[in-house]
Amino acid sequence: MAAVTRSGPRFSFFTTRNIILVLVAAFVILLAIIPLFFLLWNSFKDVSGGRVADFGLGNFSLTNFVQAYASPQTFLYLGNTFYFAIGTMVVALVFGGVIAFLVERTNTPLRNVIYGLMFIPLIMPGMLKAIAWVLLLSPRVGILNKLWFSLGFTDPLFNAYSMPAMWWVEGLSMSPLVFFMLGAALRAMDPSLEEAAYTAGANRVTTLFRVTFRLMLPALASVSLLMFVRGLESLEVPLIMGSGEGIMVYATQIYFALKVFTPPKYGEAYVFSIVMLALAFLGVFLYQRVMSRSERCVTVTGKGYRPRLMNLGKWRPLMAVFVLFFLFVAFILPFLVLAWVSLLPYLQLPSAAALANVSLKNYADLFNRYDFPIVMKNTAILAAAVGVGGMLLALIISWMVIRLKPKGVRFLDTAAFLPMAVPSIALAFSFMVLFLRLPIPIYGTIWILVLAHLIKYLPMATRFTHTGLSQIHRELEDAAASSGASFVAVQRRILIPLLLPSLVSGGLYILMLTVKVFSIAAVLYTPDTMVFSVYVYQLWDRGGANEVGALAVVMVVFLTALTIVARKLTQGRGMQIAG
Amino acid sequence: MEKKWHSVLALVVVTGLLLSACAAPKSPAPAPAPAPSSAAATPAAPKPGATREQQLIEAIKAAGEKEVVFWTLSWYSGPVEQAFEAKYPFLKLKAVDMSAELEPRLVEEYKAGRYNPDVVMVPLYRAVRLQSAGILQEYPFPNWPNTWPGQPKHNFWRNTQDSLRLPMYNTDRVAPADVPKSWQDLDNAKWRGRSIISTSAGSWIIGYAYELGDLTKEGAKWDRTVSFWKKVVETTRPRVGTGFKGPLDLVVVGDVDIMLVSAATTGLYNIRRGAPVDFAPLKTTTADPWSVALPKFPPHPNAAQLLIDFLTSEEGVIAADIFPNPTRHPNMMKKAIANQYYAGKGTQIIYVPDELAPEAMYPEADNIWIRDVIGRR
Repeated sequence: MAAVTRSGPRFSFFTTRNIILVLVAAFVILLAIIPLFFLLWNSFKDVSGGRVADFGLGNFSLTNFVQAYASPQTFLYLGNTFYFAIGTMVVALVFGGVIAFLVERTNTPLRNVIYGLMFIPLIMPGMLKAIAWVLLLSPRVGILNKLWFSLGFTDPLFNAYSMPAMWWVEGLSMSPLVFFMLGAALRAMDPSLEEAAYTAGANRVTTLFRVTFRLMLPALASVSLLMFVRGLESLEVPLIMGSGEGIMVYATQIYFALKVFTPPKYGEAYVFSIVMLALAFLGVFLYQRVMSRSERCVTVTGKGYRPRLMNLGKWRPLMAVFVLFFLFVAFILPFLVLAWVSLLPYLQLPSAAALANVSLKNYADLFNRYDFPIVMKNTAILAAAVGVGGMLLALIISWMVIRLKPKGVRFLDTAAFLPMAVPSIALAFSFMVLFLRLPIPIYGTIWILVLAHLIKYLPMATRFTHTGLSQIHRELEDAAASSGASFVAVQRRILIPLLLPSLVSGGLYILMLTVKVFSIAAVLYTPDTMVFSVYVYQLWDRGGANEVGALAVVMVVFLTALTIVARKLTQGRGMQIAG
Repeated sequence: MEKKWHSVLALVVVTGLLLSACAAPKSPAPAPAPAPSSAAATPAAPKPGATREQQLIEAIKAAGEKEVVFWTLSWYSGPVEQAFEAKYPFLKLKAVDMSAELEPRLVEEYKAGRYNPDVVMVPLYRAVRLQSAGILQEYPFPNWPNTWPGQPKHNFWRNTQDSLRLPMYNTDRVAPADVPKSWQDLDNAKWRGRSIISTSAGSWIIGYAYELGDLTKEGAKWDRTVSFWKKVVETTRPRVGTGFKGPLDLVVVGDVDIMLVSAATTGLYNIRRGAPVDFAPLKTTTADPWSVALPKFPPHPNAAQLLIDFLTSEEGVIAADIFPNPTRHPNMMKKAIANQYYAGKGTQIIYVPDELAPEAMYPEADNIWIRDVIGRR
């Protein structure tokens, strides 16, 4: 690998590059710090009586902390939160990681199909997904337990209302992120290093652990951190599968403080959020230590590169079975439950009697609603703007963090990561309070939704671009720059094409989350800017799971098609063009 | 170069933070800024001989009002929306779901002078909070005088209907002989492992306290009410759910057999679709009022009045009646399907006298349920 000396840029501050960089950095830091400031400030204020915030200079107190931590249960919940996040992370890493390796680095069958299907769980509304798993794993009426009982057993095999079931459901839900991020990193890895190991006499296991894993360390650290923090924030699964049996985590505590009490206990919710933030800070610190060594893991240089697939040989059928099993339990089974629910007038388990009730009425009702096209249009604008804008923003930030490395770059990196640990609802409130008073006419428009989602999902977008960029040596850009290419040209003609698979995967991922997650849109939408997530909630509130099932199936089909098209368009591009 | 880069970045960030700090609201909230349009509570320039409705329609057309924004719970807005737009096709009714998140938003938007509700319809305890925030204005409610039973003495809102709470059970799993006939029947170990309870109850517990005699003119004690329900929870050890839809879905599908306190709206929705659930036919149940109100500075003041008048008219009561909240309209109580439905079950609705349950009691009642009965803090 070529060692490249960092050439000092010519001093001329007001260049296009610097203006773009300053504006992007300022934009990110400002919008990322505002919710943090909002959260910290108000956690020390007595925001009782349903007030969202108090920005007066007096009335500071520790009341919220005392109220939140007076009960020993709070510490039990902290333990549960940690336990849940770790278990979820492990399940996601095992499934997502193995499948990513099989798809990207081996000749396992159904690779394109897997890629398309991996997006399915992302779009399924969390509430419905948890209900689908309850219908499968309920100790009393769960479909899988009923099959078990039919074999003559009397005790249930599964219990939907337990921590392992929560790990399973949440871990499977998160496995796509592991798949996409590790997949991008694996695709970018130069297999000649592994081949060199084989040539030197190492077997496959030794090569896997001593070469592949080491090269993957930054990506693994990045993904693990994301999984952990996502586990801390996950709500629907702990709420539906855990809280009923007393398995409370911080996310459910925040939910109870904000949604169940009258008036909402904002102060306590902010305090619980701060603990999550502290854990996230710790994660960022550890992550940055790993990433600081990422230069060692650079594998794509200007010297030619072409990833090759490992032949699984006699293991190929077995791996295919594993992949099919994974697809079945992770996606097909819950999707079938969702599709089944969408055909019924009310929630029923499969039976001959239930079959008589099957119809397409929920779909007909949905397509006949006058607001359905408006919602779809708004959702398309929001999703496209966040998907494309988020990844471009993330690319510039990653370039600054990994390439430019100015002093204080860790601050920018941390600022770009922190919104992940800020509960969506607190972030939405902070944007509401700010933009209600700023003379910027975006409050009440789709653009405030775009901004809030951009900031919320920037941490995930930057993980994709950090991982991709850390594996591309800077000599390609240096060569272009020394040939007179401008900053924009380098980005457009070198980095974006090289990182295209990562950018598309990341863009699709944050697009899916934007479409699905309710909390931000719930606070910032208006009747004219209604989007899918709010629509799902309102349909749920007006009727029940069945209409929402129909809506979710429509979105799953549409977004699956979108991902397959995106995959087709980016196939054969990306890092390979450098070769 | 790096020094300069940082200086500029720091300057931009500090400027932004200062700007946002200046933009932050002061606490306590200042008086509300003027809203986008005037808040005339009566239509302008009445024509001799024209009805109030005609005057409002003329005023709407003169002011160019094309829509009316209705903040309420989404399940309620659908049928009203259809009936209102059918009658007044020149107006679009835009419904905003007033879920828990949106209440603070409404208050914040009001403080900033940038909010859009023309009419709100919410549970009474939320109306009390909106009034405390200074959002509501008095309105004469020409179709619904406050001399009617169960109405407030003031003119900030009218209690037009009631949300009911009853146990709901799975008809395939609970034998007819086991179906509870009274609230006391819930205090039975046979429901252990078979029941679910919701953290959401609204202020319904006020009605139950009234039935048990915990409400007196000297004030509320809650002792008997809380100890009874705590006993039910200890005896049955129910699963704890949130909201009404999710827990009832588990009853529908047979994961649990009974929801100890279910919202009538959710229950009837499932019954109408053929789900194997039914209300336990208790002799009495209590009413949790819903209130309609006019906010200050509605952006479409004439359309707002037209909508309120519609909601409080007999026609409006019929439009909303396909959902199961019994109306308080005295002329419609016997005719309304919802009222008839409960009467047909033999369930009598008990109204709590105002003097025993002052409005300020309502916001706190919800917390008694969550904190003292369910045990969530």
